[in-house]
Amino acid sequence: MRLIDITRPLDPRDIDKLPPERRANAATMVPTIEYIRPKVEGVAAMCGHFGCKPEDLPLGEGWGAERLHINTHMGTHVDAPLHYGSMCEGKPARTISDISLDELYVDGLVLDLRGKVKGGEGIPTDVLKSAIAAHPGSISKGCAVMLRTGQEDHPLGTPGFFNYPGMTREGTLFLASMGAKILGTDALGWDRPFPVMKRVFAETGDRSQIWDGHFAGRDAEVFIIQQLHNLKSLPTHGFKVGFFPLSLAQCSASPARAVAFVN
Amino acid sequence: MARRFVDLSIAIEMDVPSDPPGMEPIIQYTRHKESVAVMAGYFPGLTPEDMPDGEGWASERVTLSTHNGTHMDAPYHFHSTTDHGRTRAPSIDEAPLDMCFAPGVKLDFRSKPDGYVATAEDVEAELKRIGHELKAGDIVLVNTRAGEVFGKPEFIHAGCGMGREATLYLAERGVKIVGTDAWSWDAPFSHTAKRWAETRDPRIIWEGHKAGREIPYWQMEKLANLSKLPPFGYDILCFPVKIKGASAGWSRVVAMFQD
Repeated sequence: MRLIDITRPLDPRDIDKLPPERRANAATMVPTIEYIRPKVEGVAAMCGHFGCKPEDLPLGEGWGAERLHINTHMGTHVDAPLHYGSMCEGKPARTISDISLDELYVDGLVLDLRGKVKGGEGIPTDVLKSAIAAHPGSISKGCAVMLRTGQEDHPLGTPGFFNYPGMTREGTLFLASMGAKILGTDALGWDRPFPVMKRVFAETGDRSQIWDGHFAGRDAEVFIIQQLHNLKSLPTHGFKVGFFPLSLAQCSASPARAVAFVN
Repeated sequence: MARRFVDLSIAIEMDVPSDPPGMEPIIQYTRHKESVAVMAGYFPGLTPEDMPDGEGWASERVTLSTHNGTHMDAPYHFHSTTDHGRTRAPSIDEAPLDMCFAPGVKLDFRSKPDGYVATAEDVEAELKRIGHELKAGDIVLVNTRAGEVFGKPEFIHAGCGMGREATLYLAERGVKIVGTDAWSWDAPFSHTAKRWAETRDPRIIWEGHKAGREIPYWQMEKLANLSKLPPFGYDILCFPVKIKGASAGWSRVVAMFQD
């Protein structure tokens, strides 16, 4: 069995790759990390705990440690139904610590949408349907469908990163109706980009245009995974995928180390 | 074949004492009614009436040490070098995934007193008792008394620790990942600080961790539910969150049984 990492790391240096107009929102996208280094801050920290002196530590080194300030929706992460609303399918929405492990280790399927979808636009349901029809595998109940949107060619630091193809309410409900429980994308977000939804709302006043891909998860319970990485290394189907999130009490999401198990 | 998971991770929450005072996780919750104003920043003119049931999204801001919650330490946590100073110690984002999915072995050290430093002989005797021959790549989990007092203030002072020799006994036999349900792989600091005050022997300070200076190994702390595991016969999955250059990463550690 081969293990394939499909996780985007939490990297504080990403701040340098954000365009200036996005810096104000950096706290939702990039972690802040205070590094405590073994040769510097770690020495004082350790001497404090043990009541010893720097020369008592082997080669004068303490420990390495870090303190992170993150949003629960950073890097490759799992959204719990609570993210989309307090209720889901008419019942109190589940939080990230309520989801059972069995639901997060499932059959995986990659839908290759490259060349069939456009940045900044909603992914048409017809495109999803024809991609599924042409796919050698099939969607099983509870499986994870991962969308390879073409964003792998637009990493952070390039203009296309923020102009990704997004899922609408219709597309989201369609995949859920096929039986998929975990819906993943290699794009920054599941919905169309915020500036796109903002423009349409401003032009039409149509409230159903707002965050409609996520809000669809109030009507059909799904776990949305954003910022998948390295989907090009996966087969189309016939593998397991595990998305075990941190057990963050009553939270709406958590970063996860997403791993595919390929035979 | 039926697959069954056992969760070996503690929840990360604010109201349950899991770390020394001042080192606790902080979670700031933004709930659905509060976030409508946040969303109006993205969608000018948005009112609660525009939102389904007047609700926006739920979200959280979290301040965590990489050593809060159930986590895996990288060799870099122990020292800047490993392999007897020959190589730079790897950080958590460099953890090879293959070693994080491997057969688990549990050592039952619940009867050892708080602050006791387990030896290589203790490990050998327990392996003999459970009838397991250690194999390279086994993930070895130490069940201490701390597991049963998790959530109480005494947790950080509870359980035995693993000494340098016990740690090297495992590492020399090809064990890459170890774990404990105590706050630390080493004996609780309060016990070691007392011994230090008496002996002034620097070799006892963080000796289990510092064994990683000699042989690199990876180490999980604050595991849960170890008492529910049999001695062996299952796989452990323990993929750490990928944090660039960090000394540790949180992990949702699980045991997988194929019944």
